[in-house]
Amino acid sequence: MAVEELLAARGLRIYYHTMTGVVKAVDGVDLKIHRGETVGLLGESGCGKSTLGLSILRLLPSPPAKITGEVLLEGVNLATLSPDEMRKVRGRQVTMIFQDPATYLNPVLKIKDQMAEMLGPQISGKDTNVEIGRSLDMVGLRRSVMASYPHQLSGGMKQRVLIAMAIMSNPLLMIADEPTTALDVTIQAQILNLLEEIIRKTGISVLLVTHDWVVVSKIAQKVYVMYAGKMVEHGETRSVYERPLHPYTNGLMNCVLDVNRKIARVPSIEGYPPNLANPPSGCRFHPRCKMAIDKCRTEEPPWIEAENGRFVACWRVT
Amino acid sequence: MTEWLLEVRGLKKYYPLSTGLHIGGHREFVKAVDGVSFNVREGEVLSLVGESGCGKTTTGKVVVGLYEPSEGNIFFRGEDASPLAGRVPRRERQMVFQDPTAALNPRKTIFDSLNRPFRAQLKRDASNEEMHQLMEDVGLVPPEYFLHKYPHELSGGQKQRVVVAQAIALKPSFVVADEPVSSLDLSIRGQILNLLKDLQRKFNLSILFITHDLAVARHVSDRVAIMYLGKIVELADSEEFFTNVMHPYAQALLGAALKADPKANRMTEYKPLVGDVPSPINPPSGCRFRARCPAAGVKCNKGELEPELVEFRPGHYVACHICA
Repeated sequence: MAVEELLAARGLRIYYHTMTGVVKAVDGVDLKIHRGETVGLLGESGCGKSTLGLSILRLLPSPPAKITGEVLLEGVNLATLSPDEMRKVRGRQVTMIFQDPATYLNPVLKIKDQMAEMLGPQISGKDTNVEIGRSLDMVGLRRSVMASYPHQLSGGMKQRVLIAMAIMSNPLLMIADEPTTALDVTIQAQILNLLEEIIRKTGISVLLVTHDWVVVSKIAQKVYVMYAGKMVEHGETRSVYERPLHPYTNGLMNCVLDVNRKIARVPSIEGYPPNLANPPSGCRFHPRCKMAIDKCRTEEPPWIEAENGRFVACWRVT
Repeated sequence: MTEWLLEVRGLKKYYPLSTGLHIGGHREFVKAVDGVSFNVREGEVLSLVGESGCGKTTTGKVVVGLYEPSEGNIFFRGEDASPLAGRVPRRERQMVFQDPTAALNPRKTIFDSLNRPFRAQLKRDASNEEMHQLMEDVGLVPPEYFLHKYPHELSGGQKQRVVVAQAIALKPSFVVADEPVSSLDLSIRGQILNLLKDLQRKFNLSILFITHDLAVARHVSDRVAIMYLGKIVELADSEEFFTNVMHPYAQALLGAALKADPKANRMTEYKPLVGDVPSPINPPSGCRFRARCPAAGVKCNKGELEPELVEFRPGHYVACHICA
């Protein structure tokens, strides 16, 4: 039996109209998440991964953002929903956690009151406490946290509160935008273990937006790699790690330093990421690519299934 | 006897807390750095590794002379290096900051930014050759293309090269690099790390490399020091450290460093440290790490002596009662 498709983005384009021109933050990408899957969206700063994550919930102000293409959640095109209907998707069916937990908690409300907002007004006070207590248990926080203000909690605890809020409504999908980037390494390990446990227990689907390959490798079964507003590679995390097809993915993998092994020269990719207001012609990676041929400079490589379940956009692979 | 370029002895830096009126009350302090001693050799890279709030950046700023220490001494080539003593010229010690966008003045061109050190310290403008040489040293070629641009026209990696150029402009012998790559993308990180390495060899620089990332520390440093809550808990030669790590905190840091291999990450059930770093206003007595330490025993308890840095093997220092 085929696993059900939960979220699908098709030909998604997000252009920002700015004073200096049109910035093509996301330029024609396809993405699929099946029920119960954790999918990594890997890319460097400015590649459009956060824009893509935000656009799913229609959280981008438009203008300046101009969105074309479609995002389907359980077959429903989210662009066609009214603002009221969209509000029922946000926080209910699809939730989101962010990089800096301090920014997303209200500093003047107690944790309990903020979490109660997730439940809505129709629930009684007693039930609210039970529900909140249960969510706090799930994320390994003491119930006394309910009476605290955000500033009384550490960064790791705040991220746990946000995760608790994001799973309270039993959503179909959680979008996690760099959930561990702002945290210390020992706390990052705690939060990743927690996410892993929650995914296992609740069967929630997760879109994990990150720049960090090791975070993807820890919890995501599948991964999409983005570069300069385009998808460059997709496949099972294991298979991408063992044999990256796209030169960018390959280069990026080489840049991951292993603490257990020392190499003389730290690897990097020559050059710098392009300006998305004026991206290079052809393949957007060609100015930094060691394998580039003439065709790469003029023609854009198509997004094709190179092998079973392995997608790539590169002329050298096709 | 080894000739140390920099000696730090019992360094403390306390920040006063402003908690309103103090009528007869005592003042509270954030003990950011609470008794740190280490040396830096000529031409070596010493990494100072720790989590946020452990005092590593404060240590760097005091050592470079940006802050006055609350207690303790810093000697530079044997001379008292505190800013008040004024015996060591500023240009000998420079700093590379974490966020190049914040470190560069957005309203000055790259030329102006690089000219600043010359004007401030040497009271003259940089010559054309000096400027071109500097740009070439940090790999910003052709120089003419970059010199008259503003910071916002450059990418993060290019800006960090400019910040490095500022630091080495006056040929210092000691540079504090404070998380120089943590705001950069992975594909750019290697460029800047290799640049620092190359400059270090070329000018026989000593670098105090501040980072939270042990994998980066392993690749750049000759020696590694681990800080926790204002104290150094372990200090050793890099290879010695990574093969024979001793302090439970250092072991936990190493354990938390994920591997690139998805298989390895899923198979190993690593146990992250429980809890959070305690407040540096009232650090725990006894061993500061005891509340989170998986190996803590009676000797580490409240009211007991704080563990001192002890040499376990030649050059390998650890501050831990349990390791002893």
